Amino acid sequence: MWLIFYNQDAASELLNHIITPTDGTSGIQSQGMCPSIYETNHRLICLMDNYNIANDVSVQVDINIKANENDFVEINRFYSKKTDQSHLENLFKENSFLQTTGHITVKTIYRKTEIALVPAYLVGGLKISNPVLPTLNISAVRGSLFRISHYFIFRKWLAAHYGELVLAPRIWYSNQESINGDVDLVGTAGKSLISQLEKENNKKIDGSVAIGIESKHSYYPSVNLKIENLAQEKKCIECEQRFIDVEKHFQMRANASIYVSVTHAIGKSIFGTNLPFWGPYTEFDKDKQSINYIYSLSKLNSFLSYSPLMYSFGFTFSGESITIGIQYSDEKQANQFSINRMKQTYVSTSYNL
Amino acid sequence: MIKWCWFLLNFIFLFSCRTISKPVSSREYAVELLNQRKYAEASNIFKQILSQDPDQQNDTKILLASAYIGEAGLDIVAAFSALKPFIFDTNKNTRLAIKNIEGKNVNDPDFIKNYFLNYLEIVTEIVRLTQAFPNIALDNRPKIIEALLLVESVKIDNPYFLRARGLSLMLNFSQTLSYLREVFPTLDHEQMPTFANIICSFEPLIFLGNLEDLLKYSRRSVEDYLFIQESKGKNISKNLDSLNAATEKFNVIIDANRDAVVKTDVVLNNTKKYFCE
Repeated sequence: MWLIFYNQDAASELLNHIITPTDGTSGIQSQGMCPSIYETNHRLICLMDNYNIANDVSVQVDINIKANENDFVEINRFYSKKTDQSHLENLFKENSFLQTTGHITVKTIYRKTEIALVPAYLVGGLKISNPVLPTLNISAVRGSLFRISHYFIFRKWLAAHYGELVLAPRIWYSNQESINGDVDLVGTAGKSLISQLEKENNKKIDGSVAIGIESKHSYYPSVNLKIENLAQEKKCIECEQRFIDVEKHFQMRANASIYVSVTHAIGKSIFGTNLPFWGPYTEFDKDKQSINYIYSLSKLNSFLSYSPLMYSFGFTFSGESITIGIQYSDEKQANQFSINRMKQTYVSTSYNL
Repeated sequence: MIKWCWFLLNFIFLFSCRTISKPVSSREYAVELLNQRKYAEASNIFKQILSQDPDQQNDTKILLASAYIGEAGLDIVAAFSALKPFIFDTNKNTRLAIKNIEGKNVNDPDFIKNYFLNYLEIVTEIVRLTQAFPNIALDNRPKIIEALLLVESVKIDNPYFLRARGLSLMLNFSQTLSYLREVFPTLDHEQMPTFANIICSFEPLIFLGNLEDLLKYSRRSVEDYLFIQESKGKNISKNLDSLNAATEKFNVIIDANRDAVVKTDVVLNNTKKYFCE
């Protein structure tokens, strides 16, 4: 029954369910379908990227993390060189798969323009397998980023009666440090574990562009298309040879989302689907296609999201100057990392200064 | 109408999602069993996978070898910790000298006796330095040999080759020590042995019987070590080299005395008696 044979040596698997530096609270909770939510008097609108629209100048601090503090500390050790073989052995006794992801963003918004600084983001996964010959596979990326975004809304266009045409370009400069490794106890003999890991620093200018048609009517679908990491078209061959890969998330990828917005007697809701692709809509990622339901009542938004690898429930509560979000998920990584599903919690906070 | 179409579309999509989650492959399941230390179950599945395609799956060979090692009860992590200061850390290596024994006639009983004493001095040091190295029970040797055959079959042009060679070193060295320790059946391995403990627990007949295997595995250990360290640009392990060179030389002496009137085992026995009684 189990015997579905592999005909090749171990291949790379992508670390899923991560928070990229461009993801916001709603985007995380809706698995990318609704990067941010804008509420008008009549309906909810999914903005195509993690944007905010403010009439006056506002300054905001966002923190989005996957709440597994231990994993964060352990993976960060590989950057701070505070790890060795004996530490690995201890880790293996406790947990063989660790993951961490999150970012802090400080942004200033004026009308439809946003300038953001992401002083720190981290995405990483670590797998230790084979207790007889403990083998460490790690892939992690951390960095900082400076970003400018603008939102164009065209109310007069060919299909203005149907909805608004929206265009959202953004450009950023990032300084990223990645570590990758596939080492075992014997392979590290006579050398420190840290020196066996590949490290790479990468400074780059990149960007994304999104276009959408936001329907004016309940039950009429709105469509958003987005291409991210526009300057990273080149395929990363090394990434495909790694056991764990996170860098693919920083390669060119695209999204198509369709949703309907409905106004109820009490509250408003959005129901829609998100279709993710790698490259410029060239490779459909069926494991991440999701359907989502978002219900909003006054200052409370609740989210239900489903994709083959993740079921989640979450909510956000918006106060005067603070927004808090919690998401509970039952998620699945690649079988090579963990055969069992895992319960995870994502935490988001946003302060308006 | 539109809203019902929309809901219908999404329910179809929901059901399509359910069917596309990847099934667990036998290899992934076996790795999970290995991680849970269920070695016998894991090795059965790895064997089936390899029987389908024995040439391609080099990493599977290492995983199956690991399962065999687990079954044999050899703790490679403990072995590695014990072995590291002995052979890998070249700065701390203490050269165990092979003395230039007086009298070059290998058939001379005095020469054999003196060389034997020198050899046991080296062995005493080896046994002391590797005291923490885990022992392999005799019954488990076949599993270790199966594991060795697997790691030796990993192709040289494969990315897993260096890992296989590292594992091969650990296994060959554990076999070397296993055959060496067998020569001292009454030695208390919990205590740090002295030269007197070593010579008094020495069994000449077991030694002569084990010499071929002892040499085979110590040679292979040296070859593995040299390969790994050359690929890392390091120096030779003096301790490992001394053990191998001294055993090689002893083998030459024993070979030269196969047809001698005074048998080597008699000389060794007499020397032992002289020191212990």
